[in-house]
Amino acid sequence: MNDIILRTEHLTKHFGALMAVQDVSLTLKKNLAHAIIGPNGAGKTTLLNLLSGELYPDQGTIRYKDQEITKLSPDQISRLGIGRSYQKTNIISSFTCFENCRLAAQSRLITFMDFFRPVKRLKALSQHAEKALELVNLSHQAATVAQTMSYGEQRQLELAMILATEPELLLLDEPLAGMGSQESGQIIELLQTLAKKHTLILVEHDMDAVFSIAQQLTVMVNGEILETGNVEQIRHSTAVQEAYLGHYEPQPHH
Amino acid sequence: MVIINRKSFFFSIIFLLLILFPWIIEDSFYLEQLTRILILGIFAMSLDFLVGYTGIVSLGHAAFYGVGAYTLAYSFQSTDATNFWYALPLSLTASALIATIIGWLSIRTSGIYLLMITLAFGQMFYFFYLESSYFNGSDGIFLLNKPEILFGSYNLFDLENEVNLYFFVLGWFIIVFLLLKTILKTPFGQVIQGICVNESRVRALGYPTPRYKLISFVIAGTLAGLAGFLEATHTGFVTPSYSHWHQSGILLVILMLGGVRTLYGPVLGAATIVLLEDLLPEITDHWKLLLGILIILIVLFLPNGTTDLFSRILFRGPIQKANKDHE
Ligand SMILES: Nc1ncnc2c1ncn2[C@@H]1O[C@H](COP(=O)(O)OP(=O)(O)O)[C@@H](O)[C@H]1O
Ligand SMILES: [Mg+2]
Repeated sequence: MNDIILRTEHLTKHFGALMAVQDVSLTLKKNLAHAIIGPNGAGKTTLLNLLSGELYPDQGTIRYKDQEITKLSPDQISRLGIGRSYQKTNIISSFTCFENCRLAAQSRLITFMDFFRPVKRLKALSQHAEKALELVNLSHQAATVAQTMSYGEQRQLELAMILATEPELLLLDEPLAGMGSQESGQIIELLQTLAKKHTLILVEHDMDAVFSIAQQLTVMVNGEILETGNVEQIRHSTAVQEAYLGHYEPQPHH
Repeated sequence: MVIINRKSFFFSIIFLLLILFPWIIEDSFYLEQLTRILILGIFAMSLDFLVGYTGIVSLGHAAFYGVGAYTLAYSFQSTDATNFWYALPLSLTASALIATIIGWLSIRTSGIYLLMITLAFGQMFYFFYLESSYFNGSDGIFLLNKPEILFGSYNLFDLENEVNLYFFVLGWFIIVFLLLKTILKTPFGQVIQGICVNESRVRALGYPTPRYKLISFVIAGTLAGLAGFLEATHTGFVTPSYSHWHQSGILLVILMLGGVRTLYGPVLGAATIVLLEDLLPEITDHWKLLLGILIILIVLFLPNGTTDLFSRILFRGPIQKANKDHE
């Protein structure tokens, strides 16, 4: 049982009459990359919002490791080791890249409110921030104010910030959306590396990326899980083919 | 070769001029005005910390200004004299306590609700003083003496002397300026500046943002209490108007005039208001109208307030680069 890192049971969230997430029960194994796919409006982002504490479910429970986290706040959930990126880029726009990552690293390295020491002198913070920028290939932009960068670079920065908080479980909401093909190639590579030592929940529309990163797949439609299983099972599931994948032709294996 | 950062060089010159001021201009009227500016400057910097750096726009900051002043009046209640070492900590503690309560009740709201709730709390204090017979209602309280800064039984630094009082206020001004500058550079300061731009992101990074906002609120409220204490010491007069929303409103105008998010901008704003209030009445009887028009013009044409004008004249050209190179 110890290799289960996250388990949701009958998770339900509605907005008025709209059932955004309905009776979602998921079990996530440690160090596996788990993709959630589905058409727009399927409830993928809402599900991530429930997992990260941005929203509370109407029904159901979420357990992370040995602990129920259903009613915890986003900061508590983050401190347990769950990092979150957003579909709509979410960074501190007036900070430089470096400052963004330093703030992220600080949340792990300084566990009390520090009013006295200038951050500049805290070398460990700078090192963590620089390391995170290096991972996403943004070192050359360290001193650039975040909002002046391209959209793709801002997405990379957001990933770097999450990495600087050293999470075990990453919730990534369409991390590749809006990236150029070179940038997204680099990020796919990074995600593949991360997937070895982290647990990933990856919401993504780019199916080639999904198949090259994830081992497990869940297909959501209208707030419900249509099918869940490993990549091969989903590829060949007729229900999924009909309901969602439609005309998708899997790439032949090399 | 050591190149001194132009900005810190400039600040050192300003501080030096402030220290030498009583000998440069031996006119008690101007000394008096400068003392007023410095006190208002402390008050304005405390609000800048809250509005400009934490993103909490309060319309009730004068509540703490009033608490600081009235607590000093309370220290005088039974005698004609009060010991500074007792009176100041009492004022600061009272302001901090009140700021904790008001802050705890207001920081969860934002936008217009935050304005309304802070406004309501400020006015509540105003009406409390107005109706309170203990604090002498609308007539206010005269403080016959200044607090005594006792060392043993000896009053080393007599605040009745206006030059001493000026230095006393200047000392606090410098302390507050450096304190806030320092806090902004610490991990705590980084977090609140992040909150100011994007609170939900900072929260998702693992920071309990409500707690950070509350502490920022308490720091700002306590320093506003210090300003109230100094103003009461300076004028020797405490009235309900210390906490009136006009006071909070004019302070926000001062921030706009001077430019938020700079600390020194609001001080320039305070100086602008004090000087205009002096000069304009000599030109016309309708000086308040003129003041209003001037404020609108400054806000329209200098988006960052008088700070803009100032840095355009003083730091023209390479200042931006010089700073960057140095970091
Ligand atoms: N805060 C909200 N209030 C009301 N409706 C919402 C809210 N967030 C999402 N929805 C609705 O819930 C449904 C699921 O949305 P979402 O989770 O964003 O889907 P996905 O990420 O799969 O595209 C959509 O119909 C969306 O309009
Ligand atoms: Mg979505």
